[in-house]
Amino acid sequence: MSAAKLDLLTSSLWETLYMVAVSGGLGALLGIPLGILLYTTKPGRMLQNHWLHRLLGIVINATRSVPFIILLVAIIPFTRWIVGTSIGTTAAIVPLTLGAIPFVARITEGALNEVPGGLIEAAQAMGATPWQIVRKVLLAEAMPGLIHGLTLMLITLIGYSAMAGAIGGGGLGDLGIRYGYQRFDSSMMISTVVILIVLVQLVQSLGDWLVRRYDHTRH
Amino acid sequence: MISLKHLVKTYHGHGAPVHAVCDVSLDVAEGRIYGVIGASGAGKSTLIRCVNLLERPDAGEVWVNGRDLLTLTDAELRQARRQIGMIFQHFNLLSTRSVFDNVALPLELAGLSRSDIVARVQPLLALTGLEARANHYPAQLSGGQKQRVAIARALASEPKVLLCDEATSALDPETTRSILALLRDINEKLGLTILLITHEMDVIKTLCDEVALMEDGAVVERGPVQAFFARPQSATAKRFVQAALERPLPETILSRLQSAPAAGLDPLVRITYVGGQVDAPVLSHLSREFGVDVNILSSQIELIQHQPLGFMVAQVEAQDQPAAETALAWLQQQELQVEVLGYVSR
Repeated sequence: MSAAKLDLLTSSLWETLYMVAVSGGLGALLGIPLGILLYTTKPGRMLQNHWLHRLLGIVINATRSVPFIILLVAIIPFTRWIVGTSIGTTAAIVPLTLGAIPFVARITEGALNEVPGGLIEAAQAMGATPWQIVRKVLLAEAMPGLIHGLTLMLITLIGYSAMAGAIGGGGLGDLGIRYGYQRFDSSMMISTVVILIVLVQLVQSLGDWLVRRYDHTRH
Repeated sequence: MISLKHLVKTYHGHGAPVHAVCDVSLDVAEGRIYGVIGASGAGKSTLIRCVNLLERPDAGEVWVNGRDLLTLTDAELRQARRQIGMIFQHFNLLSTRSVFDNVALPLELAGLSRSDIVARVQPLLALTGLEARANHYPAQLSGGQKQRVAIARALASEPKVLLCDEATSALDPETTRSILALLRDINEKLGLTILLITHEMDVIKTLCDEVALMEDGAVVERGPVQAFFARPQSATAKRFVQAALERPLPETILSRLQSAPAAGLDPLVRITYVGGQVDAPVLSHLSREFGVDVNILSSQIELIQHQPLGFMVAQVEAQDQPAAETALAWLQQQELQVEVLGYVSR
């Protein structure tokens, strides 16, 4: 493999890492609070609000039902408004983040649902504020499930990022399509796929390791 | 210390409303251990959860430590709750926190510094016998150890009152005894007022000073534990006491038991005696004076609140029916509780 191709591979790897890391970080930053809101506004919970809960649920489901390739192009005006351009790696981060947020919100809600209600009652009986319950009980106890879900999100984003080529976002998936598929360059196709496999394996292993560190329920 | 006044709590779910607590009043004096017993569904769990307002009653007053909790703001209620410790049937420990950090949680919530927390938690771990387990996680502990952690956690904020919601119901008998001993110990050492609910009469017998019996959301009987066991009034109380203390009569006798006296049948009596009466030789006196044979079928003595309480079932064998009646009449004049269970043939 020539040095030029090797350069292409490394720069594409960086593009993928950049897109996934930034959109994953932003997705978690915005998705986790949304998930907490989804959990706490459910009727019978501490911030119960039937209409807000329903509304959030509908918006999240709607966003999640749009195929990513359509989301990518459908929100181009929004992307341009946020980052000033609709083409390029940075532009791809906007739809990736938007795809990640509802995903993370549902994962967070699910992980919080797994926390036994008795723990929340115990905290209430200790005189904990709602915010303390969220921080010290709910999020702490849901941490293993949350990390597991965020790992899943990062891997999904790696997959989504392959479509970023549609708006000139670059990355490994784009490289595979342009060189491996359109130019019949098998070595390039195989290289990108192998790198992606290794990347996913690394992310999963890191996630599993973190889950083991936080999970004290199995001994 | 705790005073519940005319509490009412009704659940409106699907179907008919459930009257979990109907007009229950209850007073627990400072430093006492008060037990509420009842079958499942009697409303005792709802009642204890009303004391720290985990459950808000529909009507009534909840006085703890001189304040009516129902009149407090959210912030004031949180402060008041720090003076009310609570332990649960399923312990409710945080699985991601070590024993030390579980006990430290209420102190963290109250905003204490790390050094203050360490100074408070260490003696609690010593009190509950958990020093060697400080860095273990709940999943590594037995049920009894988990409840000890929960007790230490409940005591961390130095409460005046401890609520125990079926605290020993998930534990085996031996572990139950050790937890009850620990509760007795902290009651004496710290002067803590304890309100507990249970469906186990053993808990009432070994730990409580006073007891209330709940049925269908209402208190049907209450009083000092001694009197409750020695002289239960209501049918439910009698059933509970009998089930808890007396071994049932063998089927061979029960099947022969007749309800009316007749020739050739002897009365079968149950005698309950308290305290000093245990020592009085009533039966040998009966036998000597009235010329009857007393065939003791079962007999046992229980210690309740350090006072002996005895139960005996005996067949009184007299020459004829009038002789048996005279003997029984004398027996009933003694300071004993005598109940004729029925009549059996020899």
